[in-house]
Amino acid sequence: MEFRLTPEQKDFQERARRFAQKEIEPIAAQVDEDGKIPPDMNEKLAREGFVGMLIPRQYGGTEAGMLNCVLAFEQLSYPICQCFEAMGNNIVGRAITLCGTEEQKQRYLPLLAQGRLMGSYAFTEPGTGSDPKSLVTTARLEGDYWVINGTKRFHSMGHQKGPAIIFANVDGTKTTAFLIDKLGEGYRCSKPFDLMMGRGLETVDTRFEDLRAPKENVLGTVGGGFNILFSITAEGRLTLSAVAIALAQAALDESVRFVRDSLVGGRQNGSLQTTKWLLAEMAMRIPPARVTAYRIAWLTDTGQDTRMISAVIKLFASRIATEVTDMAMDVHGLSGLVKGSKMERIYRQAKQFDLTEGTSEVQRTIVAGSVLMQ
Amino acid sequence: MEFELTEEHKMFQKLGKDFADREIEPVADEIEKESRVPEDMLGKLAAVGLLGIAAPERYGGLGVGFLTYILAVEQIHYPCTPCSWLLVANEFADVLSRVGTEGQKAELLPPVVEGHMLPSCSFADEIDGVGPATLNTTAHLDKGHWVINGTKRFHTFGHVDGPTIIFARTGKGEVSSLLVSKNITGYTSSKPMALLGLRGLEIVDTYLHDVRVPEDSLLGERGKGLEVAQMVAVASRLRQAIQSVACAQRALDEAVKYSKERTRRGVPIASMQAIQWLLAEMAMRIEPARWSTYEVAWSKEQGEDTGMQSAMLKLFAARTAKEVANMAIQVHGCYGLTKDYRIERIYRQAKMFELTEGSKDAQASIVADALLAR
Repeated sequence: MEFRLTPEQKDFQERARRFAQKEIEPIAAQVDEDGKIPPDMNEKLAREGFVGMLIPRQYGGTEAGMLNCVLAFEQLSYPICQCFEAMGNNIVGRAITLCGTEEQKQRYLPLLAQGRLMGSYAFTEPGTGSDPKSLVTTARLEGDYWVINGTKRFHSMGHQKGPAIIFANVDGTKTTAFLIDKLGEGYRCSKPFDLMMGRGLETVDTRFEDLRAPKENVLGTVGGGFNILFSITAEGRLTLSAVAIALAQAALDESVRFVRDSLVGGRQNGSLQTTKWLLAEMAMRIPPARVTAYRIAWLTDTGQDTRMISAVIKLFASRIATEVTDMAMDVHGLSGLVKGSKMERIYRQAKQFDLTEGTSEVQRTIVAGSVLMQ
Repeated sequence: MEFELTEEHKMFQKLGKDFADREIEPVADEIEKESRVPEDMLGKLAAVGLLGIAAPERYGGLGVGFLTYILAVEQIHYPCTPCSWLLVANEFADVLSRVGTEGQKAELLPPVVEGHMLPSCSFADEIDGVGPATLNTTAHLDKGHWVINGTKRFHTFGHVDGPTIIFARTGKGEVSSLLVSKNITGYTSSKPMALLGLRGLEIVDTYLHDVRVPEDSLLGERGKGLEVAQMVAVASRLRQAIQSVACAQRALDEAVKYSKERTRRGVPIASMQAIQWLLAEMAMRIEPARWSTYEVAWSKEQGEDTGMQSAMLKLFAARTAKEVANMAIQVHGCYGLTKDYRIERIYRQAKMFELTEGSKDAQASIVADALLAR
């Protein structure tokens, strides 16, 4: 039992914090404004070892593990600028590591670890939301090729070169994961959606029209798609939770700074107790979320099942993100509404966690199912 | 970082659970009805070693850390009776072993560990309420004795034989803590108050009228009373946090049980989305509260200052208990109002955690001051 980060983990956390301060903080407002990530960002992230943390060393990764990955996500998202899309490679890399063939690993993992390819995954469809049992996308075997047809919605990084894990039905019932090289023949994508939050994090619709993928591009087994999906989503929920926790922390820190600064002018004196009460309400929500996220990362690293508990933290971290930022706005008053202020940017980010990587309604269904089964 | 309880921790969890199942659960209804904990309960807890978890071995204790104590409290409080308050012997031992003299430890710890005496501690004074900094109780030296005068309110077990820690002003701007036997001339108590919940928890007012104790009854150094008070407060916040967690867990378990039994048009209400939504909301709060409590207890065990952390935690855990109990009674519908269901009692007790041992507003103030002082 050791609830403290090890010296190595602290070093790693510190490295991520310094990177965020040096490379992300200065451009955060601009990225939010333009919706464009500097082209060299992926390379910088890769150089620091933030994109291959769940990829084995023999394939060029760092094997840093999920806890370090969570620490990195938390630190890198603290400036409130999601320009670390290359970090999605961690999760895609892990799925290929766990389920891929030797040939798939050699083909994709080194390039993913270097940030030269952008991995992504997509299961949501326009008609089915996040319900994986009613996929419409199909794949049928024709000779040495799978022929894939269908549409995937909200496919983050779906328009960037690299492997996408997409889920499709084979013979009507066998949900199967495929590794697809994006932007090839038969692969079309829309322009990125214009989003309220996460400027810089780009998501598109992708359409497959008789897309031909070599026979050996099945990830895992035919009909084994759900297991891969559950593993990917568990990790996606956890890393997204880390981003939500960082957001809440940033909102708290901004509020403390604001209250302190405004105390100098004596402006807050009349309402001091209500302000203090808000600060405490914000602060008390963060440590329970953080310790739970770290614990689940540790469970992942030690090979334990996190499918249910990752829904718990996703639900909880999303909730605190919206609650804490809402209270932070109350602390800021009208100043929080002004575009260009960090608080305004923070507030726009908060709702995404309730909605992406499975809405909170989906998470509740998972948690309730598990509670009722016990 | 290692998020796993040790074998020793698990052993104490099991010890606590077995005891609760065997000795408390069968009499839980009776305790509530009679507003009385069976007289032999303290002796039974002592017999299995649960009163001496934190006391050093030299004085008859087991000398295992504070987290182990917290784990035991969690199990003992699962039936949601006041019996878990009898374990405060451990908190007394925790404080005494750090600031007590050799003589005090040798005299008081063995009978406390064996359950012959029930220690207590009181913060609240007659007029100024909580906050030892504004004490009315005074003590002055007279012929080698401290002469103590004042009134202590809401003093749990203030009328039961054993030592109590009294905070008193011993000079201008000087607060000291004193060990006082509750069976001494000049020390009287009111009858136990009738309470909203946790019936059987005996809380009294205590009157000190020219109580004389030897000069060496000082606990810790003269003038260092507030430090002792802080020590006591941290321990009791952590205990209340885990009692809140146990209370919330029981509320969830009662709701799950009820939702599986109760049918509507032939179908268990557990299959309804509105009920599942409530169950998920409950589970989502308990997990972070529990692990956050373990973490802070562990930090305290390592000797870290957890003044602010424990205040945040208590605020959060008490909120969790109240919200979860509220949702659990909602699952029960009108049946939840009847004494036929355990949830009625749990609902009444859940609010108490926000009021006792420092109200939620007191905790909020501590947290906010710490945030602003950084």
